[in-house]
Amino acid sequence: MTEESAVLRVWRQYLLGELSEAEQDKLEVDLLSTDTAAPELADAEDGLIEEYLDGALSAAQRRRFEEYFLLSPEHRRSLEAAGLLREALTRLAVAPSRPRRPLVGAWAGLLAAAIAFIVFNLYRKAEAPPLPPRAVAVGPTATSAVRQEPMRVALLSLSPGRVMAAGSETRIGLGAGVGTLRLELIVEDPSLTRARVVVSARDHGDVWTGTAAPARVDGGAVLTVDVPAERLHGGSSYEVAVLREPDGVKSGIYYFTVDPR
Amino acid sequence: VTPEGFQSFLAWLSPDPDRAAHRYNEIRGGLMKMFVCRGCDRPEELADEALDRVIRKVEVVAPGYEGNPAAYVHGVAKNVFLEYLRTRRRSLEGGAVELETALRRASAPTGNTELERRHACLERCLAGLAADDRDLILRYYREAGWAKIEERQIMADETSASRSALRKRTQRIRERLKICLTGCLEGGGTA
Repeated sequence: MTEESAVLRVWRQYLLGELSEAEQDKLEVDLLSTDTAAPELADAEDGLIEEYLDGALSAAQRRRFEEYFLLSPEHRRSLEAAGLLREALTRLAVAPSRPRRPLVGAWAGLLAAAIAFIVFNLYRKAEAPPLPPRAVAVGPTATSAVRQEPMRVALLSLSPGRVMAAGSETRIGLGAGVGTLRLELIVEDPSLTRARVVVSARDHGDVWTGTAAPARVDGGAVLTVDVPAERLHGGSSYEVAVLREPDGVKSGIYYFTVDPR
Repeated sequence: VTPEGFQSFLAWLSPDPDRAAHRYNEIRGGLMKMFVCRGCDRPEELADEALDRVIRKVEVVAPGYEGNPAAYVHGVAKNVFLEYLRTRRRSLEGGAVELETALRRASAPTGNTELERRHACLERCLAGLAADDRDLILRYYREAGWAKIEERQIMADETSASRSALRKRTQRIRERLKICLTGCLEGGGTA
């Protein structure tokens, strides 16, 4: 780790409230007495907000971010401003993807994880009737296909906690023949044995509720629910809340948008 | 706070008046950041309260004090913070609603009219950037998900910059855009 990244890491810990009081005091005295501390702190703040919006923070970091960092009204304003700017820039900057260069080094781990995820989904789909795949979803962490006959089920796999700028959310198109959207929710909470799943539209409230038990696989679990397509409207964005039963504690949040039909 | 007390405080920070003024601003700015990071909703007021307390006592404290004056100011500021915590009537429910609003605003889609207004403002603000800054920031946001991460690595490689340096540069550009965009939107989209 470089000296610079070590410094940034400490400031991130400070911003997430993860330091002891003595460590916190030392950093704050630096903040009051050196020229370098304030820009370092600003860097760390910016990095945290960007990673939060990217969905790149770990579950624990995300929790600290929401429970501690966002206690500050100033930090909440910064998050709002960053989200606004990102949304506008993303819409302006959308362009055809360039050809990928070969993945090397650190990306190999990400590739391995992605392959494992795809293999896992293929394994699950192999248990169902054969699927003539037609890609209809775009966006991070999404895999999808539409089952033509006889089930006519659209499949969407989601990872939790992705608070994306509009336009970069996971999207899915539901064709006229699709009767059900099957959501496969990647579960991070190892204690989850049964959950209530609530699908709500950002502008129309709850649209569907159901219960499910996660299926365990090596290193994780998946919660599968079938949502009637008639409950979902083209052009709307949805939030999926997973509430642990019986205590109702929120275990995960997922987001997706249905393309206009 | 008396003018004499204030002058004594500046003299304690540095015998050079210019340097002392710089140090004063540095301490005040640092205090505000500290209160922000501790979740306070009145950081400027609390910073001034801490400084006022130090200034009122400076003629007693400074002659016998050894070490960095900022450390003393920090100790006073922590007391101000503790008093703030005791007196603050934080509505947990209200705080939760505010937080939820911030999270939604950071991610929620907006109506067409609002989007058009934002786009118009952003295009104006982008036009005010140097061409290479404009290209950089648009490219920085072009991809999504992992593709974006890969794209940013490619950009860093192409410019022989570290990802950290690239992020800092885009941070500065974003900050300029944020100020311009906020001003434009508050001005009805005509800035």
